[in-house]
Amino acid sequence: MSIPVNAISRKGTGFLVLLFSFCLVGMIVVSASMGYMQIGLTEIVGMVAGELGGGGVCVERLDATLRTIVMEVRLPRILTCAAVGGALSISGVLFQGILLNPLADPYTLGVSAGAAFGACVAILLSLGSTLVPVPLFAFAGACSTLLFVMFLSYTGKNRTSAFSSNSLILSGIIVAAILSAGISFMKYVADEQVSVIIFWLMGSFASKTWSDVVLTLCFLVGGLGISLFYARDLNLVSLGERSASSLGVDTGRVTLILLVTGSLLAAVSVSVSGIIGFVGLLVPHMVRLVSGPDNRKLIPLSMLMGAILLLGADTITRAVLPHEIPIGVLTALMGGPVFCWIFKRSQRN
Amino acid sequence: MEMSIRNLSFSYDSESVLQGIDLDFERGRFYSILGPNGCGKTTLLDLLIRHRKPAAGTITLDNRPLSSLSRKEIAQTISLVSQNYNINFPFTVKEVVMMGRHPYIPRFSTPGAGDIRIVDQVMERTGINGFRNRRITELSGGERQRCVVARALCQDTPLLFLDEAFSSMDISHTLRLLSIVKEAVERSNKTVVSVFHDINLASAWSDSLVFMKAGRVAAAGDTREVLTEAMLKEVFEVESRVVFNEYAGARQAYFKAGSHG
Repeated sequence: MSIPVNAISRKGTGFLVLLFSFCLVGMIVVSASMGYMQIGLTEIVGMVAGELGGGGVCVERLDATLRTIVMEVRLPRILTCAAVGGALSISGVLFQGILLNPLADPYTLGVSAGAAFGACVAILLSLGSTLVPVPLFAFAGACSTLLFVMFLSYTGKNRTSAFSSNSLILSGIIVAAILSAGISFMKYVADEQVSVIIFWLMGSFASKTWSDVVLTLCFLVGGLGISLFYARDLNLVSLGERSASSLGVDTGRVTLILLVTGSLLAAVSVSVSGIIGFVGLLVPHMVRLVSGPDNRKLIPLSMLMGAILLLGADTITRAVLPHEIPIGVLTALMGGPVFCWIFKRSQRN
Repeated sequence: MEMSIRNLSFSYDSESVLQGIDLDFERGRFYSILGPNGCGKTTLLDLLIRHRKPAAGTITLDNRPLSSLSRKEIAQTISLVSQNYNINFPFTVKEVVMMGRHPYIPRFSTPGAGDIRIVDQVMERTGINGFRNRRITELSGGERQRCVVARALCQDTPLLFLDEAFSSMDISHTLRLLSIVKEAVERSNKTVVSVFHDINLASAWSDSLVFMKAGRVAAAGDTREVLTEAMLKEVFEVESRVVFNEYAGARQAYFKAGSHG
């Protein structure tokens, strides 16, 4: 007698996706109400509903200041934050699967160091007369780092696979080390402006705009689609490339597509918000405890969980703590100990 | 299904790994490949499942070139059991075995009743049903390997390749799985090609042996004909005595303790 495992867990996954989505929406509304000015939940809902309906009676009755706070300040920040949390988490799942390593994260290949390097260059250039867009430089830095890491670890077409996980990880470490030295040099050169660089590196969602929301959401939706399409293949790849190949997976193509997808998700996240650690590492681990390692469940659930957690952390730093502290610092301070606990627990099992 | 290999060569950059391999694998026979470490056995299997592309030569399946088949068609024709060192994700045993049905289940679909029946039958036959819901990361090396053999059996292909599939298994499970494989050869007319290190096990179970040395086929033919003292000397550079053993029902090689070369 047998029970079709997938049929049941599919329902279970569907329920969890609904539950997590519900939590995320609730979290967005609650977070929008919190801050220097407390705004009622019903007013938030009314305001958003009014905006979606093209500006109805509700909006007119509300104070224009409140409307600006919610629609132009808080919601862009909240939605960018949630999208970045989701993107970093999907990226973490992809890297862990491709690199056959549960300890890989979106920054394993040096994407964050590349983005940070690009951002530093932009900040340094901005010290002169011209204003250089930091996110654009960060994104370019991340992408060129990825290309260089892939070039370094490319082993040739005759090898078992074009990119082996070990050479990718090693190349990432080497390139990140070089870039870190470059960043240190730029900090030194920046002199009094060094604080701008340091604050950017620690990550923040302050003063995000709707264009940030649209940008990150576009990448997130695209990345989610591609990841889900290849999720089943990633299951096989994560158990070894040779056996995946014998089961009909074009391992070279799947690895390349998911590697680029994961890196772009990480790159856009870093370029919008700076370096936010531990989300991409921690969230897939936490979700795996509930959903198991099947990427078809892990990817959507991790995305939602990442969005919830990062939004929670950002709300704490924005509206609960007396002074806003950089989000990257907070996620590391909270995520680090939790990860230690999960790691110890898995060692015991 | 019959596989023909003609003049197959492969190299890593400038380093030649396989040269001029000619082999025929016929339906309903059990082949074993023997040879020293690094002689190209695993690379040969990689070429035969198109995990790597040959530098020269042709591989045909029932007269159709392997290169003309899609990956899915190949996976429905050839299955491979390799050594699995890299299992880091806690899939359950049942999930791993179900992956053998991957070539038959369309993307975004769930396994059908037929897939589930095959998986259940294979788990029962291979003796892993008792731990079907355990995580594969918690199992011993031998238990894992049995799951991987079960996965390949679920793939239900006319050709089955085994790459040192039994080297981490105890003798009881090795014999049990070899019996299952042998039965598949005899009853379902499958072709099995197995890389072995144990010469006597290969001799007892195989219809034909292929000896490889330094990227070439040193000899291929009926087990009784090619397993000779001269051949072991040529391929492995060891002294031996090869005699027919009645209990094993096959020729067996004996080596003297403390002697080499």
